[in-house]
Amino acid sequence: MLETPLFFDRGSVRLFGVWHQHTGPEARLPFVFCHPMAEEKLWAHRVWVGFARELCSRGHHVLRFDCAGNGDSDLAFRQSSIETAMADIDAAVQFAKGQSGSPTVGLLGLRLGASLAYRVAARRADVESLVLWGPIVKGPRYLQELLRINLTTQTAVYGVIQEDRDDLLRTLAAGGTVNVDGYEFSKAMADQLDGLDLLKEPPAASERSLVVQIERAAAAKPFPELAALTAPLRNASVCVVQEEPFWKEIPRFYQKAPSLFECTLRWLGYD
Amino acid sequence: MDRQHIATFPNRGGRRLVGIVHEPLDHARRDVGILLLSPGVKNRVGPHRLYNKLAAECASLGFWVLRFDFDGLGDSEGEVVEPLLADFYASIQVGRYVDDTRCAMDWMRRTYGIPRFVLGGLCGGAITGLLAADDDAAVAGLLGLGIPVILDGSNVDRLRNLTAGQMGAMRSRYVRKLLSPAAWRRLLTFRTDFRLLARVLSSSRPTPPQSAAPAGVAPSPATGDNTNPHFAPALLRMVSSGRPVLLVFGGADRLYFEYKEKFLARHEAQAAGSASLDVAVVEQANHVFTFGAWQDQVLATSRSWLMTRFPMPETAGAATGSDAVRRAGHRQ
Repeated sequence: MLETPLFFDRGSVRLFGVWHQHTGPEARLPFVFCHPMAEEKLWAHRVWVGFARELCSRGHHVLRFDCAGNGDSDLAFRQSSIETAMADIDAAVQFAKGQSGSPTVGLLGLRLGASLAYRVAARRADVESLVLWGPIVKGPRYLQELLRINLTTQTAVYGVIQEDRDDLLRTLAAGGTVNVDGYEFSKAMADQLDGLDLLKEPPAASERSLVVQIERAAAAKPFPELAALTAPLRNASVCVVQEEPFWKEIPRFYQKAPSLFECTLRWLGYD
Repeated sequence: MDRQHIATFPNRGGRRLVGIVHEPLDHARRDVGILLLSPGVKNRVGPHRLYNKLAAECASLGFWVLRFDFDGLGDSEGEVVEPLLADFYASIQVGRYVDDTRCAMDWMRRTYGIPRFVLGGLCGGAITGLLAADDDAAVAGLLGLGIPVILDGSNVDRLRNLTAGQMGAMRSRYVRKLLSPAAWRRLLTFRTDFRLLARVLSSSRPTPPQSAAPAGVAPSPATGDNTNPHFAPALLRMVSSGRPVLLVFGGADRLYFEYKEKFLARHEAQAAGSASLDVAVVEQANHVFTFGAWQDQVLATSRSWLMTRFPMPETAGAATGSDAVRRAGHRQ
């Protein structure tokens, strides 16, 4: 296996990525990973790296990359949005196809990255496999989570909330930004999150899909909305795994997510 | 303005580390470079990409900057075996990544001909820089953000080691919550941390700092003191050697209270007598300088300190950054 850190372009925007190259005789379907946004991306990073290496060891080329405004790619976070991130994924798919020579790819996403992968797979015919880890199905609910993070930070440092939820929404409406864990979310990002509802959107066109619900508690029941999400998809299944929410700060240092990896690898046909 | 290049180099264990070099496009200088050392488990971009912003700021002053992932983190090779973050942090606080830092300096010296470095970083990156500076003349200065003075660890009793400053801040918060129905609801439904509440309320007066240990001597473990025994000796040696140190803290960060009570109170005379130690506090800021205004202050303070302590040499600017890249045979 070779891992090559590199830059590739989406128009005038330079994106950073790592190309995990399988060096054996027969390469399988290449995968493009779609990361969660902002600070979730950092906490989940080693799980991301770990699974890329797992897949690569089984014969898949993998492209991990940073969307614009994240990691080592161009632009400030405030300049990024759902639309720019989807354009970035498109560019990453093109890059992976060019590097691998494969006419099709798989997309694997986590959290908001999974939602974006779903959307991209709905408008492209070259996404053969789709793996969604803990997708954000309803954007407005996620937006409220983000605003809550801002309020929690205010409470922690000032002892009181100086700007409440309505104030933050007014700031966004006026074209300002709202700080979430240090990242400035723009009006465009907030508006596009508010308009995200995967259940009302065209279904992904991939040949097969796996949706994984990640739960802290054992034996949690599948969310009905995930069943609804997979209903219109071809050859789709839902799987519930028990893992800590490794995209947040938790006492454990997650480098691998054993149940999540096992479920995904089994679905891909590996024992 | 800067141009970014991908950097890869081996550490002493033969594992490949990955980083980004920021090449200054104007007034490039090669007398001193800057290394930004990864904080905790967050990789070379730092929380909310603080390192990207700081690197761009430093490069605008003409410094070459390298920010990179330590062994087992980010995109680098290697594994971290500690299952709990607290134990992993403890290993960083006693020098886990000093060798990786020295390898990075060696690589920058070989590749770009830069002989000396300011080591910078937040939290674990800051303490790594301080420990790497010990006995290494290649370290010209330290830019430490939210540097930890204590040792973490899953076996450390956080409550027992609360500082007076922390308890004062918590007490104020509890007082404010007296009128909060939500706080009362938490209390009455047993969701409050009663051990913490009791500890804070039972200590109405600030605990005097433990000052039994003289300068440079590790406090006794028997006292339960969680002070990092390596911190004070390393900092005092560094500033006594005349090498500039800037420590920046968030005013609401517990690490600032710990710095004041577990280092400054015990070593005030030596710290105050040092002309090479600067300390800045960003009022109300938290540990990672979340809000934009706090980040701006960190960048402005760092910039001002670098310009004052590391003024541009007269010969700088003769060679552009790109010239240096070409000489080093570096591929973009």
